[in-house]
Amino acid sequence: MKLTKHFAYFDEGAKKEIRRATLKAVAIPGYQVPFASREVPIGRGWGTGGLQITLSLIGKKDVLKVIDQGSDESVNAVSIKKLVQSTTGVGCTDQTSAATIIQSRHRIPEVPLTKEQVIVLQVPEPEPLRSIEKSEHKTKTLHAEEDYSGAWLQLFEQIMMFGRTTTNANHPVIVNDRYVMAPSPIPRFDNEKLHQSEALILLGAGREKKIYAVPPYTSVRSLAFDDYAFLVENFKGKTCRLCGAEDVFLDELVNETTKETEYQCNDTSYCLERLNNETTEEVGEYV
Amino acid sequence: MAYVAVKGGTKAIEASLNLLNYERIKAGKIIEVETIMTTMRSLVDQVMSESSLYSPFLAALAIKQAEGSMEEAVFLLRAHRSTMPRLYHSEVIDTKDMFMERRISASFKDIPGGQVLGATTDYKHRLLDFDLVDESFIENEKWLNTFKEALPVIENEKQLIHYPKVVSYLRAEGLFPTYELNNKNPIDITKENIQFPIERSARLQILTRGQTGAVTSLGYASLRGYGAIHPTVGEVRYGKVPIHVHVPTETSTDIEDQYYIGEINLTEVESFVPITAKDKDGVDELQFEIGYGACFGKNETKAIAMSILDQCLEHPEVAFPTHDEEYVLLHIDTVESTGFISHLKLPHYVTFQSKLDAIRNVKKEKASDEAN
Amino acid sequence: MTLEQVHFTQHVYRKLLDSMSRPGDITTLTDGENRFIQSFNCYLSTSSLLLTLLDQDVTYHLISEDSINISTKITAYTLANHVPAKEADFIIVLANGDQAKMEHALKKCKVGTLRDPHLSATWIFEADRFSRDELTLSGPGIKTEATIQLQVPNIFWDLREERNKEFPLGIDCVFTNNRNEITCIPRTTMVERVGIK
Repeated sequence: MKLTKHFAYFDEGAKKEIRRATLKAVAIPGYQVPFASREVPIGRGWGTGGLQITLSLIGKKDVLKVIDQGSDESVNAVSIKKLVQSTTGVGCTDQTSAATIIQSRHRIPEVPLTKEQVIVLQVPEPEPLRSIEKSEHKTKTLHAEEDYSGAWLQLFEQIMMFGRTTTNANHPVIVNDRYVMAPSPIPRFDNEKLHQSEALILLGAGREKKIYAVPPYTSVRSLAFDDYAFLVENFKGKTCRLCGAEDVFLDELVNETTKETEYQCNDTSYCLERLNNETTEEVGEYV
Repeated sequence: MAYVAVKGGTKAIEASLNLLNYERIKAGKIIEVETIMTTMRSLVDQVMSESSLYSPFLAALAIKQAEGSMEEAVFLLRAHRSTMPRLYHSEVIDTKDMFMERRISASFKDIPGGQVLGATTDYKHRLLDFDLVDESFIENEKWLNTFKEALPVIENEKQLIHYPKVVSYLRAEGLFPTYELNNKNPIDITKENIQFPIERSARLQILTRGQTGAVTSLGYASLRGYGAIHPTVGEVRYGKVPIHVHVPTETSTDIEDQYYIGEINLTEVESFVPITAKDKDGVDELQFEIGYGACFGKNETKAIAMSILDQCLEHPEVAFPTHDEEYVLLHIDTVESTGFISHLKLPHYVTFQSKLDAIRNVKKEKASDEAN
Repeated sequence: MTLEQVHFTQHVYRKLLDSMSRPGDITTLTDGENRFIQSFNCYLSTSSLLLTLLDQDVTYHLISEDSINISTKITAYTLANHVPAKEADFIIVLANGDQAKMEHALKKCKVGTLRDPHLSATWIFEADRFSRDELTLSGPGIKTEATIQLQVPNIFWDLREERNKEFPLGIDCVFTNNRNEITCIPRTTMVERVGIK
């Protein structure tokens, strides 16, 4: 008993539902559109929201890039790529600029995205107010009434207690001056890339069954007070040990021989590209 | 020479999958799907129930592939389910027409139609049966023949007996309120996102496909003290029910125009729960309500626990977590809970780096405050 | 559904998504005729969108001279049900659609609720030719400003503004023409007519 598989895994009805939800998400920036959320062959919590969006988007001519915490070669990124590739036959790439669809967990690539690209972010917890209010029914009311005092209060309490805001990744943003949105656990460093983006940004939470979006050229501000500005992770004076990059998000490593702390680009494909440009400059293009 | 990405991830996955397959087949034994389907019926039923996909063959295949892991087997079937187009809805099943194999009531000894014990482990002493170690086909064959010979001969009955529901007997006596039939189309939570407060049809669907252990635990918690429902099992029935579909382009509602597509095994539970309600004069009076449970296959414990939780969620005003629909319904799905728990195995390097940064900054601030 | 249709609707969806993300951009859906397309006696672009978006889980309301015949066909092919304008998930106005009916639908159609603003009608509106310079558009998806001209009665814009005034409530519109092009104006887009503020 063998079964023929569908293109892009899902039956067409499932894709239609995801597509309709995505269109609404684009029309109401930052609003979490509920959707049925089908099971896919990877675990809930392992990028199923992103994967469902990717599968609803992808066509024969697309080129896909998948990254997990900045890396194209992370096992889960590879696993997602393998699944999409085996059900669609599309090409995959590591190179950010060559991709038409980029599915990512917790990073936005360092290379600026373009109009021709769509980035799909995997979201574990789409509700930015969940830590303040556990009930979905109530958080929906807060969004409806544009009551974000809880979110502000939480930041204020951090300042009172620690003298500064202590959010890490997933620092809440306000989209199109209306909805407070969880940007997914991207580092604060990446929040600015959401603002007035050239590329369409789609966010999918499979387990929590929500799709939301930031259309291109849309205002996205990180929640902050006038006198306590929003601060990104600080890598001042630190450079990548491989390519020497500054002003990128760095991973912290301990050199096993010297026992010293070293830094390396978190975006592995960006680092690789820089290294290759360097060698081309040094030795000239190979023919 | 250009730098190339280290393809560590791809290689690691490949090696891991090979190792997994090696572990599965290294002992040199093969279990047939057919064997699982016929000898592990309870496991097959549980998997079908949690997957909300009725197919004993596919469930057995999933069990084989998952090496007996419940969460993996359910996951496989759920994922398979989402590739299937869903074109029709079945017609309403009336369990009065169930082809009964078992039916008991804990409320009345003499229920109309009688109690039918059927096949159950309830009264089997749970002693390990070492004879099964050397079970033989010949012995089994012999046993079967003796068993069949001993069965009483039944003349072909002209008419099928329908077993009435226990509740209909009590309803006739006025002990249960009579409700108007709710013929609203049920919500399908696999095609439509749920919104809280949730409709009962959606709630029952989530409960019936809930993880057996989770549904049982929460039902138990409610019964033990973290809930305000004290049910009596009015009726547990188990048997086969036919499924019909109606083609939407045909407007006729004649049952003869419906298509019979097969039958399923079903466990159905109606729990009787005493509640206080206001009568028409506004005076408190005691009456019964029904907690409802229904599961694919033989899943009695789960169906009873489901009937408790159904009734708990009918009374959200009670301040126990088992009466909170978000608490109960959002946490009992096996694919969701096992998926999210296990996602903690994924790398969290970036998020951790961000956390480190936040903590270091606070420490730095504190140090400079103290220095000043 | 054949594999060709699967690829076709995927292609149309991507064009539509891109178009919805960039209001006022004119997008060509497909090149030339397409043999996989069931025509519903309307523009090819309209038929393509209907096949891409509709199924048994959604409803639509059709405004056309020949609405009975065409809706029978659409329902038979997509399994979506035809319902009154106030209940419909999609409102479809064909080129020959009656203006009074269109106005009525615009006044009555769903705009969502504050809790569920996505439960609103999406309009698919046949607007003949598109050109530039009649309407000035701004809002999410538009870098600074975009301009467009659509063959749509002025009353449409007044009523749209009325229905969209309490964001996030509102309607999202896809305009189609007979050159197989579409352009989108979601609820977030501010539309200013030349000379009218």
